[in-house]
Amino acid sequence: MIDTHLSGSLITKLPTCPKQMAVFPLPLFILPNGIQRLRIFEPRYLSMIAEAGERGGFVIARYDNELAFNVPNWGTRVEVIDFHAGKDGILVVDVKAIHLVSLDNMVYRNDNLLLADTCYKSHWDRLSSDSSSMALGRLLEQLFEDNDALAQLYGTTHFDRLDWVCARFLEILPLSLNEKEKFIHPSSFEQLTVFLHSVIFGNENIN
Amino acid sequence: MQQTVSKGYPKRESNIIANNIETQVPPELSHWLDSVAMQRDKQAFTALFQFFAPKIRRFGIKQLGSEAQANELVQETMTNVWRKAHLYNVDKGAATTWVYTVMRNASFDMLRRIKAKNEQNLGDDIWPIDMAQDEAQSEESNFGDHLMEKQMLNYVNTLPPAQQAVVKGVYYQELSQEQLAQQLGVPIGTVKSRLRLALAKLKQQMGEQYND
Repeated sequence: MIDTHLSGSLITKLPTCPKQMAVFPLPLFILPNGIQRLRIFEPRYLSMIAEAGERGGFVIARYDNELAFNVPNWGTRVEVIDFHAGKDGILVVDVKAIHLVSLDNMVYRNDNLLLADTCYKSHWDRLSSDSSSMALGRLLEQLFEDNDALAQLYGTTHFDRLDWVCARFLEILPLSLNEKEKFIHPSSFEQLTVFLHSVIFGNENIN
Repeated sequence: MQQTVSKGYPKRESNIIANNIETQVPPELSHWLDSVAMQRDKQAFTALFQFFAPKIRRFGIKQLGSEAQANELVQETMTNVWRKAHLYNVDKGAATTWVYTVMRNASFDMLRRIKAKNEQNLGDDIWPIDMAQDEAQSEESNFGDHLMEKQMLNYVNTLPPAQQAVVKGVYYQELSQEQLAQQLGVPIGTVKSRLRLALAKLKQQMGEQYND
């Protein structure tokens, strides 16, 4: 069951994966190691941030008003890595994704914050790498250079790691959340690399 | 429905017969709806129209009080029937029940519009008010402040670079198709067609596996 390709920091966090966590429904797609800046102003989400320390973070889940509780049965567990007050006095927090979780037993607390039982959900299990992956990394690096906001968000980058490169590409590509969601399945990594090659380089076959 | 016929009315017989034909429910109704849904069959739609239009018009005159409004209801209802025929499910009820539900909904919408117009009869900007209200009610706007919406991002992209960096830093980073095209040094049409092709290919690969 346990993913052999997980980074060390992730494995150490596994045993402490908390059961009940707050869920923040957002039209946003974030994968492990992804970083995202959020503005927090609703009282229920301010409480969520306040409690994030003791709860071990919170969960960002794709907002979908056609689903019960407006979220699917999975989400991304994130931890707060930085925060400051914006010029308008609104709390701005940077969160980093730790791992995917499955969501169960959802319930609204009396302040309307959504809570769910969470369980560790493994992400990509087979990471293939080939020579053409270097080109993707170089392109992403260039993209970060051209987009200050992206570069500033990420303190450390891993343009040499194909899984990191592919995850960041998927996060920023102009695709619907439903399309992006297809790539959370453990066996989808290879399909993602083929997909990215088709979109970015326009080649039909990479092998 | 006008049923009173004066004595000696010359066309009495034929009128009643015509009425009977009109009230008789043809058994092919649900079949026609299917053809409209599956094959966009115009002939089937014509048959549906001929059966339902007079009934809807009568209902409209009663509910909305004018022939013009009634005709509008016919048009509104039948347009919805054409557009939504695929939603009709024969197992859930008769075709007449379904079409009359579509008709009632259209009629409520029209009544609401008439009512709203009377209440907000303040100037010639009635429609913008209605539209603004509709937009405010839509769910989309809930997240405008937690993340940056795409339209906003496009707007921000027109700012001078220094300002862009400040504003963008607080918001969700997603490339627009234009930005991606620029980054890749290809025309936007190419980006669009590549995305479309790649998605089609992906559906082929994944379609059966993850149809949940």
